[in-house]
Amino acid sequence: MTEPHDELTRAEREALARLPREARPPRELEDATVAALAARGLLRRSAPRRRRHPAEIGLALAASILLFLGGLALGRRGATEPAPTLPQYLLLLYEGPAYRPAPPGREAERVREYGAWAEARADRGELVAGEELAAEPDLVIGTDGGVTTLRSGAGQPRLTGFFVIRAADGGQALEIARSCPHIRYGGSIVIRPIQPT
Amino acid sequence: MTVADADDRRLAAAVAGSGDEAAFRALYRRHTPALYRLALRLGAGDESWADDLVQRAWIRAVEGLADFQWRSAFRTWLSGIAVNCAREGWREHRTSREVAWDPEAHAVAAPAGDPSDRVDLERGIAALPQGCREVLVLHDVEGFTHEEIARLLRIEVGTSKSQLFHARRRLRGYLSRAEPGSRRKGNG
Repeated sequence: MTEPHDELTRAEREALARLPREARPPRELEDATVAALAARGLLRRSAPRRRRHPAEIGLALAASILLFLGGLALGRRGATEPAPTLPQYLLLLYEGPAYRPAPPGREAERVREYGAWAEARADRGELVAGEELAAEPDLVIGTDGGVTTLRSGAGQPRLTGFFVIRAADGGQALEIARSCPHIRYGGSIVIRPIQPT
Repeated sequence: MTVADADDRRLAAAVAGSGDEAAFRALYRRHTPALYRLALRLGAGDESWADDLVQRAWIRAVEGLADFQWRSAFRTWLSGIAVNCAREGWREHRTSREVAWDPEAHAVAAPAGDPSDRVDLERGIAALPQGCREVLVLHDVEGFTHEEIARLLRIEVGTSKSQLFHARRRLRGYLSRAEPGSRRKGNG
């Protein structure tokens, strides 16, 4: 059987040749990639921009062990001093039916990804704090002082974590949130500006 | 060996040998614009997917740097890694939302020619089935030979040729349908 043969016309070749060969990647992708490589021990980070206290190094080590808490630990050590004048935003991470959890046995990889993202934001002075929330039912204190438990209904998005970030404005906060791996895996993020005090 | 190849070797050696971050960043900045364009094309314009693919490709590349034999250019090798990472990620991508791609959004510089023609062509490529799209992008856009594609995708050379044949036919069909609309738009 002969293989199909169909040459491009000159116009088609020229049209294909005019397609751009390069595209500008998002700025944060470089830092996120460096952080991901460093988290895997494949890159040795350049000298830190400020001297670290031994306790901070401990925090960083803990970050590689503790699951999502990596984001918090790395954020607290703040490799770059945060810009204290920038407004803060609360990112609330939800997991709904569209969220794709890590396949069994690859949870640590997912955790490293979130940790790498958090570290990259911390390196840029954008991350203030972050925590994973335990899968316990919420305790609610009612107006009468009574305590009840509140569970998310089946199919309802569940609040599973948060970050506090600094950003120049809502647009930049949105951009930072969009770069979070949580979005890539079908999670959603609610962004709320924090009222300055 | 070109100067660029020699630089790639020097930087890659520093990354593989001592995990030199500055060397990696130099390598990254040199090759990621092309890698990102390839990722956008393979992923039909899905930016999040392209971000993920670029990151995974670099991780795998750095993991394999010590074993890279330099029988091809670094960029060719890196593109091959990206294509293989992409193939592993198709299942996830197929279930993701449809994306409305603006192919001009990430342009580094404005290329020659009518932008609406490029947009139609990019969208036509994005509309191709995955196998056809891979082969057309690698052959007609990236300049890989059928033999290289066959090795890369672990398919027969004949399969690569057949996929390209079907890809070009589908693309022509798409463009012949898209053309009147684009012209109307172009003429205001």
